[in-house]
Amino acid sequence: MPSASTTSRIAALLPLAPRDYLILFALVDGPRHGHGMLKSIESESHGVLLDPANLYRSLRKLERDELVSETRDSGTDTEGPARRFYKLTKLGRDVLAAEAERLAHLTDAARARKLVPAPKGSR
Amino acid sequence: MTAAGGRRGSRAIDAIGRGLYRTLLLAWPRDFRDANGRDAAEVFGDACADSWTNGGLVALIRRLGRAVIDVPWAGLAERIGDAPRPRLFGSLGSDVRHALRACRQRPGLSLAIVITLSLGIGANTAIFSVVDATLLRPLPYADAARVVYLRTHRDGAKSTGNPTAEEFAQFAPRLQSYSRIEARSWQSVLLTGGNSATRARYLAVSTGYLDALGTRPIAGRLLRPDDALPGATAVVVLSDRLVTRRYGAGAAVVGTTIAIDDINHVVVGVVPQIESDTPGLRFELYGPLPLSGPAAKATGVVAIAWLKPAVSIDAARAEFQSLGDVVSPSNLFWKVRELRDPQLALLAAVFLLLLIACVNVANLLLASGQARRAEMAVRVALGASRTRIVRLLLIESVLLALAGGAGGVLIARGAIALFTALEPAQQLLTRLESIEIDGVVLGYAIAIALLTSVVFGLVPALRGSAKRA
Repeated sequence: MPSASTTSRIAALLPLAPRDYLILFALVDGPRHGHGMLKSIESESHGVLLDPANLYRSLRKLERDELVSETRDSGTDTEGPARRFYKLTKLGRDVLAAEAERLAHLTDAARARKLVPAPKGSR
Repeated sequence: MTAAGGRRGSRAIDAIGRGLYRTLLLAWPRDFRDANGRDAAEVFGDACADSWTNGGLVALIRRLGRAVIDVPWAGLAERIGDAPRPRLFGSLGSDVRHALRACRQRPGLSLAIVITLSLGIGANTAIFSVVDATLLRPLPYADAARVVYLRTHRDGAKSTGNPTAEEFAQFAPRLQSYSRIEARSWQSVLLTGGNSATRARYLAVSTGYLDALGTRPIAGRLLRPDDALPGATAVVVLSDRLVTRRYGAGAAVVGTTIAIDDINHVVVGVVPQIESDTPGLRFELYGPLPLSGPAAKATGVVAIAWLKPAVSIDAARAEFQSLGDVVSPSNLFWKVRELRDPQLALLAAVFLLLLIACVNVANLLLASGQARRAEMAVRVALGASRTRIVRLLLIESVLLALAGGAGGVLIARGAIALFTALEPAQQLLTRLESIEIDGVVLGYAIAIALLTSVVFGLVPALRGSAKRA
């Protein structure tokens, strides 16, 4: 359970920009380098082409906000030793979870108004 | 396609993607490029290779096209901060979209135009970059007309390179043709300590280098010969720009210790910001060049020498060639203003080439204008003014010219690499290392691309929009 100060910090960082959400989400399973993140984002988001310069600009901002940090640990992503890897911080994981919950509420509201069909198996 | 052929293709696409991306990143602020440019270009190269492997030519073109449009825009937005984009023309966005669609509908014609313009703009940009590096930019040294750069052949290779610091230490004392010989070598370093880390450019220099540039210390002293001896205390001289940037204007830093790449250095002096002889590079820290030991073996240096007034360039070259036991000497590269006329003649020639390209493209557009008469008639019938139609057609020309400009810059990059590798003989050119596509050359390419678009686009646009009976 996050402390009161952490909760207010998380609230101040929400809502996340869609690009920031995708980048943080790409780091959920462990540290990745730029190319690993790009591949993950493009496969998860069905066709979003993220530009590497914008990726690194966002990473700089996320690093300033202490949501990600650079790491030497390559995790499961072992394509090249000389690259910079990034990982989620504790705060980053909390913010990502809070944003996912916020989006889930929005999706539920859209379902209630029959904008989108209910997921299979829940009817 | 064999597996080996596929790997070779992927590697080539990776390299092309990186090269293109590095060019596009010139639109981004320098500090961003310094910190992330290499990584971003690598990621883009990998992504291009992925697109090629998984989606073929269509996926690759889609990625390249998106980058050509998005990266410069995002870079400009980054430069002007988060200010809202001005709404200069209400319908400009829709006109641009329409123009892009129109270009896509005629892929053969668009491609022919872009290739023609790429060649014209590429030749222009390449020659301009040479003229810019050799004629337009002054050398920062006193007596620049007597400056030569001493270059060597590396490991029996055909192309020339720079000597190592160790080689420099061996041959410099033996040369009699020069009143002064200095060397420099730069690297990017990380300043740590305190609350933040800063990246800065560090120039390792021979003892007299700063003096040769006419530099006088603002505080403390310059470097001394004993600073470079093995086992000496690591010392550094800072530029006042770095002092202001990191420690605050006028801070008393002489005598303090700073960590450079995690190694402690004593600050012995502060000097004013020095103009580099490699345009675009600003150095902020100066330290002694190691002249012996493993570091000297591994450090490549630029060796700069001042010819004595009475010594001819041929005699100096002959003396340098006699150093065969230390290095494999190359030709000298001398700063000579006499080359001004041939270079300007070449620039005029490639400009004529661009004009011919423009006339060809205008012809192509005029021919296609016949085929688009019906489209224009419908627009006029729907109430489009002649100005609007001219603007629409000109936007198409601008987009084609910008695509041609981007292609031209790539061709120019290749041409410069080829040119540098060919090593123009004797004293044809100086400062080969400084021939590059920098902001000035890129600005020139964009300017001639825009000028070109008006030259080849205006007549077809006026003809295309004319009322017909």
